[in-house]
Amino acid sequence: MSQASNQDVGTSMMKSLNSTPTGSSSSRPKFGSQGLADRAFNAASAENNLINSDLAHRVKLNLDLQHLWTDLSVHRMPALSPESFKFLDAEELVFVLGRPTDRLYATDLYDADGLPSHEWILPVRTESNWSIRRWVSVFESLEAFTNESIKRILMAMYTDDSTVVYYFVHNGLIKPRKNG
Amino acid sequence: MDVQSENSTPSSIDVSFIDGEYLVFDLEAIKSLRNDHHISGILIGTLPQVPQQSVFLGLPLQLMPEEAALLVQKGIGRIIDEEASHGLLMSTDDDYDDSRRAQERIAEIEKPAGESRDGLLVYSTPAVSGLTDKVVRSESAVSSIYDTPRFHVYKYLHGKGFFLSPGLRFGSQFLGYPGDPLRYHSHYLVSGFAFDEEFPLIDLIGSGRLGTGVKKAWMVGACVPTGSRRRVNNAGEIEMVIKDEAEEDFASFCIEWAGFG
Repeated sequence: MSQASNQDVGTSMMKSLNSTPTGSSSSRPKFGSQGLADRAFNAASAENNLINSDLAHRVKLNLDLQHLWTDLSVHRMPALSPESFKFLDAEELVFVLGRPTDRLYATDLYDADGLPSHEWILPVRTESNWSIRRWVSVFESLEAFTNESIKRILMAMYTDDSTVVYYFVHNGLIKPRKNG
Repeated sequence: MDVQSENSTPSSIDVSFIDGEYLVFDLEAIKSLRNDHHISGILIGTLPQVPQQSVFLGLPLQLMPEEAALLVQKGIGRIIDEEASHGLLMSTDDDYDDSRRAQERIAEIEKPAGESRDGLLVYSTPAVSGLTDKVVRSESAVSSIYDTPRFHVYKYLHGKGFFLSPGLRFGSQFLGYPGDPLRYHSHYLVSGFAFDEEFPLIDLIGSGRLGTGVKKAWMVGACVPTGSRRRVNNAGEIEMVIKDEAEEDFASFCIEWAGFG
């Protein structure tokens, strides 16, 4: 890395991360190593990476470290209509389940233990496409898995620069919340 | 100042089709649309002296194509082809009888014009539409709208009592109001999709964030083709959900920013 002295620190860091042998046989990009080659990989296979446990663990980490959620776990469940998705690992949907620091809605009820209730989070890649059929299938599969009616989930959109944004997806019509 | 309204609502609302736009010129029809059918439309008539102002707009009322199509589909209204109707009146036929008959009808209709109206609104504009037989466009002129995702989501929300207005201001197809737009803020930025139509998740982020920023939700929906829903039965097998055929199956979702991230 001696010839890299005229490069800025960020670029040389990225280079060194990419060129460092990981010692692992896995071909998947490692967390924190989003170099140009990985970006190209992600763009080309955004659909293939639509839903997978790798993504789920990154989102789980983000909820844990950045948003201080607790009681986090990753759940795999069979998709009732796997044909709705272009690619699924073993025809399974992967969800993250966790408890926020406080209830996300002023109208939400607390659990019996006085803590905010758990939320289901579906991790997806920002580059991917979505459709109404996929949401229908996601809610059906989650309801079959939990055996209860699911009114809302969170979708976690994961970007190449490791930004994660979270959105509510409500099943059916709701009144928009009053507080901003 | 009270304008007396005849209690009888017009049995059929005439929607004038002019140059690709759907317009309503009758005040009673407009009141009926708003009060009885929760269709508000948009007043687009401006004052001849100050054509640039957009604060005091009056007749006519412009309807969205979906509103016009819904009126026809429900049998509430009919679409008048004003160009053809006008041509019928103005046709310079060689046939003397026809033109004389037209002259007679013009004289006949012009005679009581204006006087019978209640004093408040007297227009000097000749009521051209009253002069001739109206050429009604057949339902097939709007039935192509019936199969569009826009119409599906319009009809779904309208059926639930929502008022809908054009959504251009927020980059959506419609804005959904829980009641009269003069009394309520809108709840939804509305976008209808086909069931399998794909959209980039970037759109979800953009519309969801914009909607939440203005205290609305991004409402999306699609008609669900029969046999598309699944569930797990008591035996643990995946089976199709068979719905009542008479009931149209519509899937709707509301998107909001989660408030963090």
